[in-house]
Amino acid sequence: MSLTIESISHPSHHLINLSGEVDTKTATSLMDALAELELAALLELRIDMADVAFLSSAGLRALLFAKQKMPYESRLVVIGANTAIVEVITKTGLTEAVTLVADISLLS
Amino acid sequence: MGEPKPMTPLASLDRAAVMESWDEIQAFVAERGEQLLGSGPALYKLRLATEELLSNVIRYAPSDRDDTQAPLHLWLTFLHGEFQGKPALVLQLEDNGPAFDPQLERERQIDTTQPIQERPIGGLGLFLVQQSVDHVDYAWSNQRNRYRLFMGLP
Repeated sequence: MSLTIESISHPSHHLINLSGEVDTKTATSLMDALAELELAALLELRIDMADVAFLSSAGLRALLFAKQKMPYESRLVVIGANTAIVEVITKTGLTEAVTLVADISLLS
Repeated sequence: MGEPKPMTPLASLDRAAVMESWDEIQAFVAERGEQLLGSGPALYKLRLATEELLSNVIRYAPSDRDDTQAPLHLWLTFLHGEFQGKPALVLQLEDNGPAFDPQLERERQIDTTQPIQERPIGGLGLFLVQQSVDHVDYAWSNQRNRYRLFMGLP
């Protein structure tokens, strides 16, 4: 099980493309990638999960970590998550931290 | 109430309870689970529950085990059993670490009214275990922690 992370800075937001599985082992890489960002000054972070097959609570912790470091009025957008991942995010009440978007084309 | 019917083992794996075993264990659960449950939502849920329990065992493995103690080990067994009188797939996870009862019979709740900035980072794992499978139980048996995850079969 592996996770590929691509981190790209844009003028209006930061984009992280994920591909693979976010579990106990791989989530540490995601946490490292997040920790490298200036989260306290970031107003929008987009995480593209269209190519993520599996997300465990380790991945949820990474999302919560990022949102808690970001400014209150910031937006954390998760793009293209599959149905099972959306269910996990929803069940754990993290839809307040995360804006779920089905497709990246829906974002400006 | 009669004795529970014996369960039939279907597949098993045992590995050292270290992060180096992680990929092999996950592959075993994913591949055997798919053969037994298909590739739908039930497989995702079983993988999620398994990951949360195994993660606890490996991450919180005691670092002070000395040479006189057996190395920390994990045993995984898929079994065909029953839940509420109906056929069920059971994934049994065992480890020989210190007895640790996570009190799985106590229903976990997430306080979704709590502001995001104040939410604890931890505590989601056992909640997800309970939410993902039809039944989960724990026992200290034969000097091992034993968790059983029950998934009803159609």
